[in-house]
Amino acid sequence: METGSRSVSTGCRFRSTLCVVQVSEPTPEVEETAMAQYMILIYETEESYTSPEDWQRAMQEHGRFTEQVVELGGKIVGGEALEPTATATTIRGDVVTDGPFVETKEALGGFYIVEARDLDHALAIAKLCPAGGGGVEVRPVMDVSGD
Amino acid sequence: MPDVREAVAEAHRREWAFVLAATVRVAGDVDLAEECVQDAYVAALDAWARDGVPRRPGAWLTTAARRRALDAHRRDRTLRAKLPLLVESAEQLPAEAALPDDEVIPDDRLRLVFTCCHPALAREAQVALTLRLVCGLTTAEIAAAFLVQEPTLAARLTRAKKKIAAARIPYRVPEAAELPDRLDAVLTVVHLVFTTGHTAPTGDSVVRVDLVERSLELARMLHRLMPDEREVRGLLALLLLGEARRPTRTDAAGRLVLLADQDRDAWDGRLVDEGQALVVDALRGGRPGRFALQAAIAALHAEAPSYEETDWAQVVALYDELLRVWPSPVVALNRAAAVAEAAGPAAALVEVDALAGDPRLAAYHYLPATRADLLRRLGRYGDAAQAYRDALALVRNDVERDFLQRRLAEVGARHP
Repeated sequence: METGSRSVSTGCRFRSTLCVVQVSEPTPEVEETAMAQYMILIYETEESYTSPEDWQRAMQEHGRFTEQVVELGGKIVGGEALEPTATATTIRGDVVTDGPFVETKEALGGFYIVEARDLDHALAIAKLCPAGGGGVEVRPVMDVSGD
Repeated sequence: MPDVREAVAEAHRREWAFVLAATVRVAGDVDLAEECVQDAYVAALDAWARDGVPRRPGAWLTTAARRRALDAHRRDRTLRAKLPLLVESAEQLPAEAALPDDEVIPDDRLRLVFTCCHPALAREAQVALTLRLVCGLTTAEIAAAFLVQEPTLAARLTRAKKKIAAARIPYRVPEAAELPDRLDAVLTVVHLVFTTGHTAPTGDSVVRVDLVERSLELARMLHRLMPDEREVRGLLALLLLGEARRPTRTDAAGRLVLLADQDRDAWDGRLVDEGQALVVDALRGGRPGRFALQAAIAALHAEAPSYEETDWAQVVALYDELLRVWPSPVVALNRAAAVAEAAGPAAALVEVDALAGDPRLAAYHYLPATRADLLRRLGRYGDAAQAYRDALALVRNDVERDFLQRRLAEVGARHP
């Protein structure tokens, strides 16, 4: 990633990151340099995790997911599970309040940062990501290396 | 000079998509490519006036646009370092902005189409991008066609192009496994362009000829590039059969003429023949898709000597099949209209009323309009009048409003 293969720095007029994927004759060079980072934000219903069995099943699903990412040619470079929104504290301006930034039925419950060739690859990976009772959002990670 | 202008305009119409698609490869960025292609067309005006119109205008324009893209890269070395994803990688690109004149330029138009219609982009963005990048319409033209303000449309395009770059939407034709879904999005966009042109949602003209022509060109292009895709055949057939009827959809005064009252002799026989042949191909082999089935229904109408002699039972059967592959309340409503002909208005009314609670049809004026027509035919003029009023409250197209008002006046006269 340090090669600056993604460029979303805002100053350059010719910032350019369109991926031209050659399916028929892939060159090793493309394979090497073409990875970008995406965050997979997992939105879940917290009621999906009430019993110890729920947790055990979720752990198994996430274990399977990490294997599948590798099978798909991607790479997990980070990720965490978050404590429930009941533990969240929000600050707006100087005001500190109890609870998450936005109250929603499905709340941010965890995330992964993955490396993928392009959005299609990232979406193929994200489709396999477990999300109890909810879904996932895929966002490209901004490259601020500014080379 | 007028000849040169004409030649450039002609090249714009015929070659824009090819030139842009080939330039994206070198530019590595849709936005930069678009700018370079526009510059190349401007440069063509002078160069062709001076040197004559080249034998292959498309190749001339492509070379000119790609040179501009290379120049932009040379001016900005960091940019070049940041383009590891190009098909022609930095090493393969000529060091100087020189591209061989006899180079065979690959046809990248499918990549361009699939990128414009990527599912990660909203439908309205897909439509705008396709019209801008593949058809070469200006922002002002697209804004006018879809009745949005030009700055709104420009912002929509900018947002979409930013997402293509920042999220790395790939410039490629999907692999076989994902092709059916991805192709469906492309065909939906082309069909939407056609229907927008064919029945403008608002305004005083039923037909926006330009959009219709562009959608036909798109469908023909897709058919040439993917001759084996049955749904592409189906879409092209559907558009051709719809277009064949265009001259008869309004009368001399610009008023809407229903299918039942259209002058079938005035349908364009050449388009009908072309559409019919494609339908046969689209239906052959395996379960037909939704565009092939819609085309088959259009074909049944096209071959019927009169409205009354239409094979309505077959039309209903095709709608049944269509509902299976494409469960949509709009399809169900169209099916009900066919049921009215096959089994009578009372049977159809039961089906239409069953759809009345569907929230997806809440703002769909064809629902109360269809209901009104069935009630009228059943002699329930008071109920029909109310349904026409419901439809009038929702309709946005002036020609259709005029039609509904005439019908309302008719049933009002019978039910004072």
